[in-house]
Amino acid sequence: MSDIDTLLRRYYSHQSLSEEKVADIKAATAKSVITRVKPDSNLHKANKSSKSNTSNAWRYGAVALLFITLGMSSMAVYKESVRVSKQEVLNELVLSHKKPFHADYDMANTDFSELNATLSEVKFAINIPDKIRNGFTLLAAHYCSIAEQFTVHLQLVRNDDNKMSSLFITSASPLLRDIESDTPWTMREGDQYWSDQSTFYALLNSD
Amino acid sequence: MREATDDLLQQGFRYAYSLCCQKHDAEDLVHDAWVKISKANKDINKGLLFVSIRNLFIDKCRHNNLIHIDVDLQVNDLPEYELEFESPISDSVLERALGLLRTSEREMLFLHTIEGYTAAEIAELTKSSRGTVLSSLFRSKKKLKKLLGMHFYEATDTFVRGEL
Repeated sequence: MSDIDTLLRRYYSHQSLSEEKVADIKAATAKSVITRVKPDSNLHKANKSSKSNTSNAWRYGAVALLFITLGMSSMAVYKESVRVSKQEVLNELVLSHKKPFHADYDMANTDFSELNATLSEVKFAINIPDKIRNGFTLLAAHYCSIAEQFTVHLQLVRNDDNKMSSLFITSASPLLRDIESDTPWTMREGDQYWSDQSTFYALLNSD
Repeated sequence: MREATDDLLQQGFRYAYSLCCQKHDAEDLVHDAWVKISKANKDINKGLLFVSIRNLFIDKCRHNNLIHIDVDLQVNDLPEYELEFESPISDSVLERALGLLRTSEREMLFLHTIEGYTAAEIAELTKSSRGTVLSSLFRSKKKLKKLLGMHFYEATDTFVRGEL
């Protein structure tokens, strides 16, 4: 150890904080801690709780938004699928209407009154409205499939103008009931869709 | 516990004093550092106190736009005088001599001589290399010796024998 070290040690040993200053620092520390800790402890809890609540609110909001988005997407997808299905059914009806009857399968020379007896395989009740009975002449009937359902196709002639019409009769599924209720989906003017308790009817007219 | 706190405060004050060479400034530094650490709910120890004092010292210099002008006395520029340690050297003389050292030199001398820090520990605290610390320690001691020797053997504008 050099003598410079000794000098420095002696010098710094003479440098010290006064008792008063030490007390001041301690008092300032105690005061700052007291004034800080009491409100801060509550504030900390409050902040923590508030932060937690805010965070939870955001979380719940995000989850709700996610569910809403998923719901809306699912609804849109469902509606689109239903729309496509309706479209397909309507196309199927129009195609069947325009398709000529094959003699092998036709039940010709049938009267409306004998219809139920003739169509023995039908599991649903057929109630032809009077306006059909009076306004159309039944030419023939045959079985077909509409919307993957067993369907009766009646070929009619309108008495007014002798134009060909088709009456499709099948059991009323939700999809078909939806077509009935959703008039904008009636693509062709004059076509009519209706249903009773168990049966769906579609009347398609020729242009 | 109380004595340990007092000792720590005194150590902090001496370190602050080694930085700023002003008693009131050193008191303020140790006060502010102590309160700052207490507010942070940290256990006060010497290392933490010294770091806090050092940072506050730098901050204060910056805040007050103070450029801490170090007297750039090069060791080689000083005349060679043998210092007779038998001669009485008062605290005021040593204080004046220390005031002519760079802040970093004074700090390193304090940490090494008074606190017993190793060169590596000083390097860590001051964020400098160990080599820099070692050379700075060597240079500052040599400079201090020369300055004290000048006091006794030569009257200059800076050191006037008998006036200090």
